[in-house]
Amino acid sequence: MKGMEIRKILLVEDNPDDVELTLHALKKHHISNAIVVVRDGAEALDYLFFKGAYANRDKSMPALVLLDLKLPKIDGHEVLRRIRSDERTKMLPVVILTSSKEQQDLINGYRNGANSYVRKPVDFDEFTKAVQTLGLYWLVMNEPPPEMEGGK
Amino acid sequence: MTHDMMVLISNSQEGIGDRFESIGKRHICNIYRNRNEQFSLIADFMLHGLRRGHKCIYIVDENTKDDVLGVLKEKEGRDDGSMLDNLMFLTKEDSYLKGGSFDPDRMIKLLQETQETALAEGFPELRVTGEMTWIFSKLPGVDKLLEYEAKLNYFFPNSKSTAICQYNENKFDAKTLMGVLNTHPVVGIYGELYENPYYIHPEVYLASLIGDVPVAMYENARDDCVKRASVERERRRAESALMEANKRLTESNKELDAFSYSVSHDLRAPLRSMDGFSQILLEDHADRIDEVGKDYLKRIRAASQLSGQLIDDLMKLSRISRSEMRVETVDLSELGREIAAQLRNSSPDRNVEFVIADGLVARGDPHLLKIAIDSLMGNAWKFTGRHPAARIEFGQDKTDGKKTFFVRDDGAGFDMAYVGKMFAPFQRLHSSDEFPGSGIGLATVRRIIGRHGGMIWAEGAVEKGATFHFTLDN
Repeated sequence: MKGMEIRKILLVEDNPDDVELTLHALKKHHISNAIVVVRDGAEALDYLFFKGAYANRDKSMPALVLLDLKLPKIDGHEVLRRIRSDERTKMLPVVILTSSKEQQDLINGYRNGANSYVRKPVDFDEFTKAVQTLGLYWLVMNEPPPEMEGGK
Repeated sequence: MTHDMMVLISNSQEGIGDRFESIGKRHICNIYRNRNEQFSLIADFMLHGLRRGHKCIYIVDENTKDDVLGVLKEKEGRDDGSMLDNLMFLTKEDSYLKGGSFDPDRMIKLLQETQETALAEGFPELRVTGEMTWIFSKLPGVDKLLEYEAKLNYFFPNSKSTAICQYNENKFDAKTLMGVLNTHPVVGIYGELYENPYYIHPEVYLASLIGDVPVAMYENARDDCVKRASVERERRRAESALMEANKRLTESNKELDAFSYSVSHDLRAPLRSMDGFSQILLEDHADRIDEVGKDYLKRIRAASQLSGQLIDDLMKLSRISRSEMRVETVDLSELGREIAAQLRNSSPDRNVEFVIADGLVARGDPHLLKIAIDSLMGNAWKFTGRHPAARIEFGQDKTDGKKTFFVRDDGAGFDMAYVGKMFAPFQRLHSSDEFPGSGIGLATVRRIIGRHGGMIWAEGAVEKGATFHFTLDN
């Protein structure tokens, strides 16, 4: 049944260490959503739009997208633009989670319709706290947009 | 002289005070087509002179005295009769054409006498203007107009007078007007003032007008051409070299920016990994690691965090050298108070007295000055951290007659033997377990002070505190 389905988190991150640290942080605070990891912008779009290797995946949309900016193949800004320009994915909560301190990245992030922009701290404790705060807010406190049936 | 050397002497639109004050040469002509253009210059000339208490004389011909008074009163805005007391009107018969003829030397003598009288009466300067249509009176001597204009150029440079000869372009022929251009170092054209490249030195001009031209005069002029051309070539070369250097600097800065950005960005990710996995090992695998292992992991964490700090500081330091500086008046007392409040907030249980002097003000870039004072006061805060009570002072005094700011603390201090190393990047006088830090703070402060044209120096003693003095170029 729809209501019982566990909402997923889509983590778009090319750095394997950062993937590991993010998963660790979420697991530690019992954020029990399933986490789908994609390693570049093209794979992210394939996942969201049921293409390539993900052509036959289940039809649900993630409750949250954690998006890095510096990605191989297609960068984070472009992924965000495509998410916002498609009816199926337009309302997806997207949190940019990036190492970039560039003002221009911040501006473009919001211009392209990010819900939030978080800079990855170098300090691990700070990083863990940030991920947990994000998880708690977006997955527990925030009301996600209604589950859209993908592929329709 | 080349045509592109016309220099505009402050625009009448800009309203920059009295543009006649800035002119060294004081023999000006006013060429105009209509009354608007005429009085745009003349009204300014007269009113500024009257406001400064100069003696002002207007020789009318085209206009009447009432015409002129009308325009002046309108431009002045108020009917201040008293100011116009120092304005005297003369007719051409009183002046140029006294006795029924015109004589250049007699007229110049009259001008000289008028100046003497005015100075004797207590006026600081004389301003004269005349409408030159009197030459159409056909009286004897009027053909000597240009001789007169040329000879005036011997009189004005060392005088206390300024004169404007008014020429209505519609009424004078080209030959006369050309001669007017040749005899006035500063020219007013349609209401704006310009340095005049057609001005010819009176000796030269008079020689060609009424006398012989000695060979030496020609040879000097010829040699001057050659000299000016080479000066001009040199100037152009220097200018293009400067533009080229500027362009290279801008490009290099842009490259440096991009390089610094990617370096710092790419360095941060591995540091996070080092810090993160060390921590995870300490937390989740503690039971399988011995004490020594745990200690090493802690050191790995500390080292990666320090690396991150170093990257941030280096980025800041390099950005400071390259950034554009805004210059404003900055309230340093207010800045000091803000920083003191922030420091207090960071550790509310510390017992620190802040003494920030009032009225600390400087001209400089507010953002950079904030970084500098933040760093100095932050240091004072840090190096008094081991004392139960502390006093941090930010004030100013005079050293060798120059205004000097200082930040003083009564904390750990330093050994003066090492004072020479203090401001170099990465030089530390304390070990990092005594006091944390990357060693780059003072180098940054010094660069900021340097960009403001100032100097910074320090004095202190071990356990007796430290004082950092600095100046900012005012």
